[in-house]
Amino acid sequence: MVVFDVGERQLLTPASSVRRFAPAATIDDSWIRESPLGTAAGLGRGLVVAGAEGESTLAVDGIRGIRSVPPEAIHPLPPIAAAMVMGGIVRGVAEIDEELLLLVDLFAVVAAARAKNSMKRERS
Amino acid sequence: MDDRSEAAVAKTAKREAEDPWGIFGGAEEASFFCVRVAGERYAFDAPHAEEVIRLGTLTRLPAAPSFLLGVFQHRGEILAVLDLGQLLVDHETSVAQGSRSVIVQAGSWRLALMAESIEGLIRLPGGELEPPPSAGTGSAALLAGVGRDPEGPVAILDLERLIGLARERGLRT
Repeated sequence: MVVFDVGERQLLTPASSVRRFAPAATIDDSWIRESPLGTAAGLGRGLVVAGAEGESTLAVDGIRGIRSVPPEAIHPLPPIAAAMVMGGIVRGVAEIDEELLLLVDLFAVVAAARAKNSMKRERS
Repeated sequence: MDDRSEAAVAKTAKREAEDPWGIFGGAEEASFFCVRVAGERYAFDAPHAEEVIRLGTLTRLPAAPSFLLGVFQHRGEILAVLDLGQLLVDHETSVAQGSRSVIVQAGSWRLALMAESIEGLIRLPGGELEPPPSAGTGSAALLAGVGRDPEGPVAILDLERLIGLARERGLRT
């Protein structure tokens, strides 16, 4: 799992969903800075995701590293919470060092951010 | 003993077996679990209330309605916490670590509810609930009735309807 930060949140995503890490020095306008996870203010680095529409880079405030998480530490969201979180971006929670970290679906995050951006462009 | 006496004895025995301490009240009384929201008293059927707990660390969820306060772990189970204040009267309940919350089971939903304060179990005379104020909109639509005890009036919530509405509102967010 890749452990990363957006704002004050520490998040997890399967390492298989990240193609590579992008250094902050390579940032450009194509990076997604605002997403349902929040706004990456510090722009520490980028997570490159390869989807059907090509590569997208999600700006994050920091990447803490890759760590293995035992399956028994991962739990699905309670059904009522899962139903209310937009676009299925949170898949579950993982109990790590006595904290619950959100397990996010980066593909869903990028898709939601792209959809929002294209709606903004259509309106303007 | 005639048939009616036998039936009455059997009914009493059944009630005592189901509720040996009289927690949920007898035929003359009904028990409810009471909380305060924005200074007003709200209650729901006592059997829905499973446990009052002190909240541990709450993990907030992104892209979720504000009345879904987050999730937390309780004895190995992950539970969602809903803010009754926001659901009933659009009033945000202040939440801190250690705040008291009640775990409820309503239909297939098991979750925690956050209120301004928790009063606990109350008893109301059975069959004396008044109908809710002419309903339709707002929290009145979530009420099953209005009761009264020595502490004053108390609005009786239909908990399953409340959670169903929360889910619908969450889906629209």
